[in-house]
Amino acid sequence: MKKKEKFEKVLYRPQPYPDNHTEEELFLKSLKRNKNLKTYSFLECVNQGQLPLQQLSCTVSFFLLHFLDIKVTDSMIYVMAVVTMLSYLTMTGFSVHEIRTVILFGGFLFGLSPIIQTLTRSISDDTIYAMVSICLFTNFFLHDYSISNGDYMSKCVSLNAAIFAAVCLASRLDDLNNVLGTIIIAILTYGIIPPARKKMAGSKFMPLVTIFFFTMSLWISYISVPIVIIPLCISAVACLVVVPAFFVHLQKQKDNIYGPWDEAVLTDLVCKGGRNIYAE
Amino acid sequence: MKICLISDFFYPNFGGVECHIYNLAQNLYKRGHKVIIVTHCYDDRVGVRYLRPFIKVYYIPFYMLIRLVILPNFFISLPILRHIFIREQIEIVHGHAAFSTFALDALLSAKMMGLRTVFTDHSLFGFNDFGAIMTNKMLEFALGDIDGVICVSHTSKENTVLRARISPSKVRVIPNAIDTSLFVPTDTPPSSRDEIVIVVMSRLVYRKGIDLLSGIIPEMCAADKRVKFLIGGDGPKRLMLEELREQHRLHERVVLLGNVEQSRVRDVLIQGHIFLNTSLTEAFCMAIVEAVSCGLPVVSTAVGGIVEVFPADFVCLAEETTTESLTKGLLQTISRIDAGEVPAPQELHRQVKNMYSWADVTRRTEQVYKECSSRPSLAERMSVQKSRGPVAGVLYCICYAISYLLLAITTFLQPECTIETVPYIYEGGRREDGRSNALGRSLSEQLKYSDLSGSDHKKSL
Repeated sequence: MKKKEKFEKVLYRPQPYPDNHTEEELFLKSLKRNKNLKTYSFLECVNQGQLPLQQLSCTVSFFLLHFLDIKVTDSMIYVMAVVTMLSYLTMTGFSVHEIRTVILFGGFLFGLSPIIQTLTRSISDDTIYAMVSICLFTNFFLHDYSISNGDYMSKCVSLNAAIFAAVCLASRLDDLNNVLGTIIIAILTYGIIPPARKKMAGSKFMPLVTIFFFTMSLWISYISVPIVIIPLCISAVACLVVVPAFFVHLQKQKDNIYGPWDEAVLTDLVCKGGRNIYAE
Repeated sequence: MKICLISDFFYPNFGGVECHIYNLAQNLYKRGHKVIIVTHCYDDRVGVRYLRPFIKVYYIPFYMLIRLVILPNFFISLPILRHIFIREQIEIVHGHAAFSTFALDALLSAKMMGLRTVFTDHSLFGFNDFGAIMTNKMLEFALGDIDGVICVSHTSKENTVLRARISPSKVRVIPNAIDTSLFVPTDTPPSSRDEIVIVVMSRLVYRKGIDLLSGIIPEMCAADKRVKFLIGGDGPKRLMLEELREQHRLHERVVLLGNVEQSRVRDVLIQGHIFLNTSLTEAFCMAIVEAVSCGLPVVSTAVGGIVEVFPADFVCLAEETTTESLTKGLLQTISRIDAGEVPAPQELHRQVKNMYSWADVTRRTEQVYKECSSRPSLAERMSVQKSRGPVAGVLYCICYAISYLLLAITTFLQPECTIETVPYIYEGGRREDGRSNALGRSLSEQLKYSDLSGSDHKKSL
C-alpha cells in the first residue's frame, strides 16, 4: 500500500483524509497557556487590602462623629476650612484658576449652609439615616481602590454619594457651625484624602496611615457607640487576612488560553510621534 | 434532501456569511436538493421571497436587537419554525454563524423535533472577555447534541472545539469558496510605471486593522512616490482615514470609495496592482481569495486561518502584525512587480479556480448531511447537557424541558396533519419551462428579481 502523504493544516489542496480528520500532533499545537500570567503574593494582596480598610475606618468615623454632640466653634471652622483649602491647593498646585475655584466653592458653601440646615426639616429621621447608610455603602463599594491611574468609571458616583450623605446628615443639625463642619469634614474625608492616599500608595508609610485611621475609628466608636468596635475588628481581619488569603488561594484557578484565533494586539501605533492623535 | 439554511445574516445585508449561504443554497439546489433559507426580517422585508432559481427565503418577523442579531429567546421561535419545517418537510436544519442567536435557537428547536442538525462556524472568538464567555456558553449549549459541525479553517476548528467543548471528530473543515467566474483578471492590467495602486477592501472597523492601515498609508506614500491607495468599504473608522488624509495632504493619493456593491468588487480590484489585507482576526478571509482570483499579488497579516488559505509563494504574509512588517511586505512586492517577478494573473486565477470551487464545497457539505443521523432520546441528550457544569448543566436541562413542553403544547394545538405541506415541484434543479437557471446572473440582478417576486408572492406568516 502506498504511504499516505503527511497531513498538513492547509486548505488549498485536497488531502487524502476525511474532512473531520484530526491529526493528534498538529491539533492545538499553537495553543499557549497562561502566557504573561501575573500572580500576586500574599503581601501584595495585604497591601492592597489596606485601602478598603482605610476607607471603611474613615466612613465609620465620619458617621459616628455626627452622634458625638460636639459644639463646633467659629475658630474650629476657620482652622478646618484653611486646612482643607491648603491641602486641596497643595494637591492641585497654587494656580490662579485653582485658587479661584477654592474661593468660589468656599463662598457658596458659607452662603448656602442656612439652606442646607433646613433642607430636610419635613423628612423623618429614619428616612434620612436610611438614605445616609445607602449612600455611604454606595461610596464604600464603588470607591476607586486601584493603585494605577487608569480611568475608573464609578469615581463620580462614589464621590457624589458621599457628599449627598454628608448633606443629609448636616441637614439634621441645629447649629450653623455644625452644618458647615460636617460638610467640610466630608470634603476632607472623601474628596481630599483618597487622591492623597493614591499618591502615596506603595510607600512604606502606608501601614502607619492605616493604623492611624483604624485607631481613630476605634476611638470614636469607643466614645460614641462601643458595639461598633466588634464589626470594625472583624472587617479589619477580613481586609488584611481572610480576603487576601482567599485571593491568593484562588489564583491557582487562573487558566488562560491563547492561540492563533486571538485578535492581534497593536503595539506599535501609539508610541510614534504625530500618530497618537488616532489612538482612542 | 430537504434542507433549511438558517441564520440571522442574509441579504439585503452584505457580508461573508450572507454570501456563503446564498452560494451554498444555489449549489445545493443545482445538485437536486430542495433548499429554503430562513432569516429574521429586515425593515419592511417580512414574509416569503424567492431567489432564483426558486429558493424560498422566509423573513420571519423577529426584530433585531443589536448588530443584526435578534434577542436570544431559546424557544419562542419554536412554534413558527415548527410550522415552517413541517410545511416544507425539512429533514436537515443547517445553522450559520456563532453570532447568530436565531440560528442557535433554531438548532435547539429542530433537534427537539427530531430533525438532523448541522452548524457552520464562520468566525473566531477569544476567551478572555465577558461577551466571549457568554457567547461561548450559548454555543456550548446549542452544539451540545448537534450532529455535525463545519468550520472554515483548521484554526477555526480548534477554536470551535475549545469553545463549544465538543469532540474534534465531530468537526469537519470545509473551506469557504468563491464564485471564481465573477472574479476574473483583466486582460489589460494597469501599467506600474507611473503609479502603483494598493487596493484595500474591507469594512472600516477596528477588527479589520484599519488602525494598522492608517500607519501604513503615510509611510508607503513617503517611501514610493508612485503609491496610491484605493480603499473600498465603509464603517466607523472612515473618519480616521479622512483625518489622516487631511493631515498628510494625501487627497490625490488616497481614494475612499465608501461601500462597494458586491457586483462591482471585481471592477475595483482589477484597477489595483497590490491587494492589502490588514485584518487582526480572520477565520478564513474571502477577501484575499477574491483578490488572488483577480490576479493581484496580496500582502496580508498572518492571523487566524489566513496562513492556511494559500501556499507561501502566493501571498506575502507579514511576520508580525505591525506597521513596519506590512510596509516591508508591500515594498518587497513593489520591487517584485518592477522586476516582473509576480506570477501572471491568468495563472493565479486558474489555480484559485482549482483550489476553492463551490462544486467541491457543496459536495463535501452534502457528505456531512449524509453522515449525520444520530437520534438520541431526550433523556440521553439531557444527561449529556447535565454533565456540562453544575450550574450551566441544570440551566440547559431546564431549557430542554421547557422546549419539550412547548413543542408538546404546539403539537396539541396544531397537529401535524393540519399543516399544509408545500408540493415539491422543482425536482432536480431544472426549471419546468426549460429555461436555464439564473446562476450566471449577477447578484444585484437577482436581488432586483427577488424584490419584484417578493411583492407578488408576499404572504403573511
